[in-house]
Amino acid sequence: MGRISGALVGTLLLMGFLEGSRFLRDLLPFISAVEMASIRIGVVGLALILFTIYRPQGLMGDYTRRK
Amino acid sequence: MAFWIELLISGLVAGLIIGLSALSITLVFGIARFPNAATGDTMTVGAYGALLGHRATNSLLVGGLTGAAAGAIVGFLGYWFIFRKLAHRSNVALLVASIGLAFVLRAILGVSFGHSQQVFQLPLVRPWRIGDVPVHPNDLVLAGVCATILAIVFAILHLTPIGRRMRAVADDPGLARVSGISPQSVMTVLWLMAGAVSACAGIVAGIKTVVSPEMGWDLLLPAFAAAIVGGIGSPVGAVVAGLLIGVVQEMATPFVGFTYKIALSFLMMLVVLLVRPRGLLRQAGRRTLMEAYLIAILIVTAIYVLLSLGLTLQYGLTGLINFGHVGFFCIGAYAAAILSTAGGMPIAVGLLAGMVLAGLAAIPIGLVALRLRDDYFAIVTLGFSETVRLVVTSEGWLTKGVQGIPGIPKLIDGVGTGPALMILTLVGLANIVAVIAFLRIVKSPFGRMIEAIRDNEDAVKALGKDPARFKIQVLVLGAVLAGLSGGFYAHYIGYVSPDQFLPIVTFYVWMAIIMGGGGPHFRRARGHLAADGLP
Repeated sequence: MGRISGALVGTLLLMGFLEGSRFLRDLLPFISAVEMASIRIGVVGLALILFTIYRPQGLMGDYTRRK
Repeated sequence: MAFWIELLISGLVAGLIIGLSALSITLVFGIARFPNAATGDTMTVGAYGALLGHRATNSLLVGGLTGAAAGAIVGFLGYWFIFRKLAHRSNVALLVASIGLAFVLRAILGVSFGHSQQVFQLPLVRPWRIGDVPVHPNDLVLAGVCATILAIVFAILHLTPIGRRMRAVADDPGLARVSGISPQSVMTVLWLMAGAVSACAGIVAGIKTVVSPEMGWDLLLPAFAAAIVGGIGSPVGAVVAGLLIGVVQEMATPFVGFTYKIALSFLMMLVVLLVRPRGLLRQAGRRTLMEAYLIAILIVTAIYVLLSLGLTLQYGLTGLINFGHVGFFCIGAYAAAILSTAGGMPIAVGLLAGMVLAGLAAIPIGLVALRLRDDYFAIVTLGFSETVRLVVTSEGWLTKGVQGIPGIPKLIDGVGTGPALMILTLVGLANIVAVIAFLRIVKSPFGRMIEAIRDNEDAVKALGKDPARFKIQVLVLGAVLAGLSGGFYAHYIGYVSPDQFLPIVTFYVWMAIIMGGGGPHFRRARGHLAADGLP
């Protein structure tokens, strides 16, 4: 945590997710744009929860560990 | 005079809502020891639950019970599946997870019920008149309901064995455990209770105003403020402080205006404590479309990278929990927007001004950081970014308020792939410079110092160095990067408005640095294209 690659890789993944959700709407046309906004918030929330529980390396609470 | 009494009454009713939600927060904080940011959205769940119950049976009582039950269930499920697994982690981990839960709840409600506001269909009743003052019987009923709920909560806490155990855990968890108090039963009752109480706050709020998926989150900040002002862990304090804040907010409205009254609670708390990617370019031919799209993606990515670098500096290297990053982004964007449109200045001036203003804004935040524990600091930064957004929304004379500022000049004029590539190069260069600077910081004595602060602040102090100075510098640096990013964003999208700077953007960036954390390799555009294919 704290590595510069972290910021780069993470941003790329984030962009992938944000853009990808746009394509998801093409596959599932019954989801409106407004609903997609809700879904995005939900996925971010879920990611926060899951990463906090299952992938803490160098994260929340364990940042006293050496990188 | 009657006018003031009316305000007082409406303040008391608002205060009940704040007080109930503050009660939920303080219960959880006292016993589970973390600030529960999902309280707001649990309130929303309660409101919708009551709405359904009321619609089905036309009885407000049934609605209330349904709503409270819904809240209790949500509270319990949150404990069972999430907070229980994080029991031994830092309170920051719990806070972040609770924010995640808040988002998930809001998403579910948004998809299930839609975003339009809904109301409780209640029969209209004429207000009574006591002297000169109109008093609505509904308010009295709601007040009575709240008082009953409070009485029940206090009764449970002070008159039952489980309540005694809960207070024991709140006072001294280690001792409680050693005395044989099982945490699971205490926690279960706690979360059921906290969920029900916040649900009730949401029901009252929903009856008094409207029900929408965002309503709970909007009330979260005053609730936190009340819990803190009343003394964390003190149920009576939370309720009294809630009433106080409610009254102060309402009575101050004639002076500070409607939008700012929420910022008032943030101010009171402080006194007590101390980014949408552009659509596809329309061009003939699929190949140009794809190119243009890719370039657009890369530009936005580069803008986000600057944000991530700033946050990595603050959190990854120094361990500061900044939940208000979007605030600096917003300042940068609006400074660039205003100076280049109304101000008529060249783009470079706007960008520079954005960086400077964002950096300056970080200084008071930094000073506040010195005195606060990390989770309190996180809440304060969240309040900061929301306050920035409020200011931008209401100071219409400067920022055009909700309508936003259109017509911001592009970085490089012209349509088509050529100018787009030039913009990408420009932002990309800024990225490279920032990355190089970042790497040099990491290797420098300054970098070692801030990592030392993250790892063991007390050791740093013991060695005679003052971490305060470095924390402020790091916050300012991160803010400057965010301000630059905001300026680029404004000139790229060409339009800014307050709802582009919601807290969710901060959490997008957090998600980015969480996902990216660790690993010694650099990934470049190839990896990005691969990631872009992810659904």
